[in-house]
Amino acid sequence: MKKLLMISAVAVSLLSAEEGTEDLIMQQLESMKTKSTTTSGFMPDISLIVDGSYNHISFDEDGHTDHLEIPGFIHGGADEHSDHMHTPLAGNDGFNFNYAEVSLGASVDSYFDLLAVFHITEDDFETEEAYATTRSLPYHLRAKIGKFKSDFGYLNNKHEHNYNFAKMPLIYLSLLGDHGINETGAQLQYVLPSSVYVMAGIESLQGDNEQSYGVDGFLDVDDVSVPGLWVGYLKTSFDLGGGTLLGGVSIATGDSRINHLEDEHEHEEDMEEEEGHAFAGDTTIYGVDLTYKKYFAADHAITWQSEYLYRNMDGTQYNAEGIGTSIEKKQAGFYSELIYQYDRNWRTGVRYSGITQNDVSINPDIPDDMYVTSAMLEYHFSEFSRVRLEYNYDSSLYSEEGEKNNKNEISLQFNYAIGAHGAHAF
Amino acid sequence: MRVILLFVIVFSAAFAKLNVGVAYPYIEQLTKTIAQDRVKITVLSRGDWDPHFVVPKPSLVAKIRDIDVLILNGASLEMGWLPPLIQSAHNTKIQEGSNGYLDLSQYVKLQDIPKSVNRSMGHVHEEGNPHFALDPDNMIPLAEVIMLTLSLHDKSNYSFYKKNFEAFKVHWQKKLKSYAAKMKKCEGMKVIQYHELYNYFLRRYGIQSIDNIEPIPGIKPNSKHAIKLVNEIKDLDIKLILQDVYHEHKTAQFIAQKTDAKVVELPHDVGAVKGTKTLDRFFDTLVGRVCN
Repeated sequence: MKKLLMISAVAVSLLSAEEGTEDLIMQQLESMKTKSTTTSGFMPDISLIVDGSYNHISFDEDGHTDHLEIPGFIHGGADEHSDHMHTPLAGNDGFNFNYAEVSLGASVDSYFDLLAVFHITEDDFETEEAYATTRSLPYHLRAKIGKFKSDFGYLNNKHEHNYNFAKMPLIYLSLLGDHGINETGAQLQYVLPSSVYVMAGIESLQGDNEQSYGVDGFLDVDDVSVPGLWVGYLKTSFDLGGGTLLGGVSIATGDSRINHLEDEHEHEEDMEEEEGHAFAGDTTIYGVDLTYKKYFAADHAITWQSEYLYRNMDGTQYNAEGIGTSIEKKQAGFYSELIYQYDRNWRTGVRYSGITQNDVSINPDIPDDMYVTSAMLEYHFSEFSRVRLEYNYDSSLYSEEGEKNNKNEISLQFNYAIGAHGAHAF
Repeated sequence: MRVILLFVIVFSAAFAKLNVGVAYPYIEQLTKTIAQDRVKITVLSRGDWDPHFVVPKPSLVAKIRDIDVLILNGASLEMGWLPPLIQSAHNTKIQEGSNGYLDLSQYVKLQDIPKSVNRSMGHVHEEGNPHFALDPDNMIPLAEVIMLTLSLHDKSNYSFYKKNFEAFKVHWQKKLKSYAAKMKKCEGMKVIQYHELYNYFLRRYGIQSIDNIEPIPGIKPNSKHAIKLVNEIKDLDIKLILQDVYHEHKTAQFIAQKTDAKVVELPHDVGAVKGTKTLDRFFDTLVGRVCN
C-alpha cells in the first residue's frame, strides 16, 4: 500500500514536471514568432469567375430544332422559365454569357468551415452550394451539412469552370441534368486507416433532381417521405506505373416524382399530339469511375478519365388525364476523355460520351445510338484566365418524329477568375 | 506483475514513435538532425519539383491521415496543393491552428513584402517571399522551432532533441562562418535569376539580383523581355544567370549566347540536383556554384 502511494506520488510529480516543461516550450515557441497575427484577418476568401463564349451551331436539319429531345431521357419543348421559345438542347448561336460564379469561404470557428457558391446566369441567381464542414470530428470522420454537390462519381462534385469541356458528358446530362446531384442534405465521410487511400461516404439528401428524383406528388400520387435520396460511395487511390490511379464506385437511390404535366400544356394549342406526362416510382443509379494521371512535370501531364453510369427506374407513368401505365427503364452510358497538358499554357483533349443501353419497357423501338464526340484546345494566359476552342459533334438529338438531327458546334469560350485563389483538386 | 507492466510501458513507448509529415525535403533534413530515428518522417514532395506546384495526389492523403505533426514552409508556398490534402485527410491534429500544425514562416522575418498586391503583378505572395529556406542563416532558428515542436509532442525525448539541436547549432555556426568567408569575394556581384527564388541567399551575401527571366512572377518569358535582359547584362556587366531546375532552360541559354554571362543551374531544395542529399551538401553546392 505504501509502495503504491509512493509510486503515485512520484508519478504525479513527474507529470506536473512535464506540464511545466510543456508550458515552457510553448512560451519559448511563442516568443520566437516574428509576427503574432496574419494580415488577412477575418476577411473570408472571395472569388468571382465569369464565363462567356461565342458559339457557332449548325444542324443537319436546320428547320427542325424547336422540339429536340434525347429519347427516353430528356424531352423536347420549351423552357418553362422563359417567355420566348427557347430550346435548351438546341443551344444558343452567337455570343453567350454562360455564367458567373461567386464563392465565399472561411473557417467559422475551430469546429466548422463554411463555403457558399452562387451560380449566376442572365435570368437566374442560384445558390449552388452553401454548407458547413466539420474540422474536428474524431475517428477520421468529416460531416457536411447544407446544400452541396454530392461526391457521387468523379465529375458530380466539380464546378463548371473545372470541367475539361464546356458541357457535362451526355450520360450525366441525361440522367442527372445540368447540375448533377446538387442537393440539400447531410454527408458523412470516413478515411480508412489503410496505407492505401480509401474513403467511404454516405449522404442523406432531400431528393430533388430534374431528371431522376423528386419528392412532390401530383394527381393522386402522394408526396414521398423525406429524405428521398440516399447516396453512398467508396473511393480509392494509389500510385501505379509512375502515375496515380483514382477509382470509385457510387450508388444513388431514391424516390422519383417527376412531373412534366404542366410543362407542355402551354403548347397544347399548336402542338396537338404532344402530351405532358409524369412519373412516380423508384430510381437507382450506379456509377463506376476510373482516372489515371501521369505527371511528367508539375505542369506537364496526361490524364485518362472515364465514368460509367447505369440507371434503373421503376414505377408508373401518368398522362395528363391521370391514367397510369407501369414503366421500367434500364439505361446506361459512359464517357471517356484523354487530356494532355503540354505546359502551363497549353492543354488539349478529346472526349467520347455515349449511351450504351436505353431499354424502356413501354417503348421497345426507342433508339439507343446516341453519342457526342468533343475535342478542345485551351490556352491559359495565366492561372486566372483562359480561352478554350471546342468542337462538339452531337449525335444524341432527335426530332419529335423520331428523326436524328445531328448538331455541329464550335465554341470559343473565355473564362476569368479574380479573388482568392483556391487549390486545384486532383 | 510489475515486470510485465514495465514491459508494457517500455514497449508502448517504443512503438509510439511520433509520426511527422513534412512539406519539403529541407524540412525532412532539419527534422532528422533533431530527432534522428526517433520519429517517423513522411515527405510530401521532392526536391527537384516546383515547390509551388506539387501534385495533390490522393495517395498523399493516406500518408497524412495518421501523422501527429505537420511541418510546412508556409507563407503560401503550399497554398496550391496542401489545403485540399489536409481537408481530405480528416486528421484533427494537423488542422491550421492546432499545435500539430507548424508553419515555419511564422518564425522567420520575411522579405519582399509587397506594398500593394494586384494580380496584374503576377503570382505575388502577399505575405512576402516564401523562399526563406535558401538563407543558411535561417537554419538554426528553424531547427530550434522544430526541436521545440517535436518536444511538445514527445516530452520523453526532449533532452535528446535538445542535445541534438545544440550539436547542430555548433556545427552550423562553423558552416556559416565558412560560407561567409567563401562568399566574401562575390560581394557586390550582379546576377539575373529566373524567379525570385534566391533573394534570401543573395541578400545574405551582398549579391545584387538585377532582374528575373520571368517578366512577372509565374508568367513565362517573352522575346521582348529576353532582349531587355540581354541589354541589361551588357550594360551592367552581369556575369551570372541563376537557373533553377524546374523552369525551362531555353531562355537562359538564349540570353547567355547573346552575352558573356554564364548560366549556372542551382538547387532550390535538398535533392534538387545531384550531390545535395543533405543540408550540408545542399548549401555547399549552392555556395560553390554561385561563387567560385
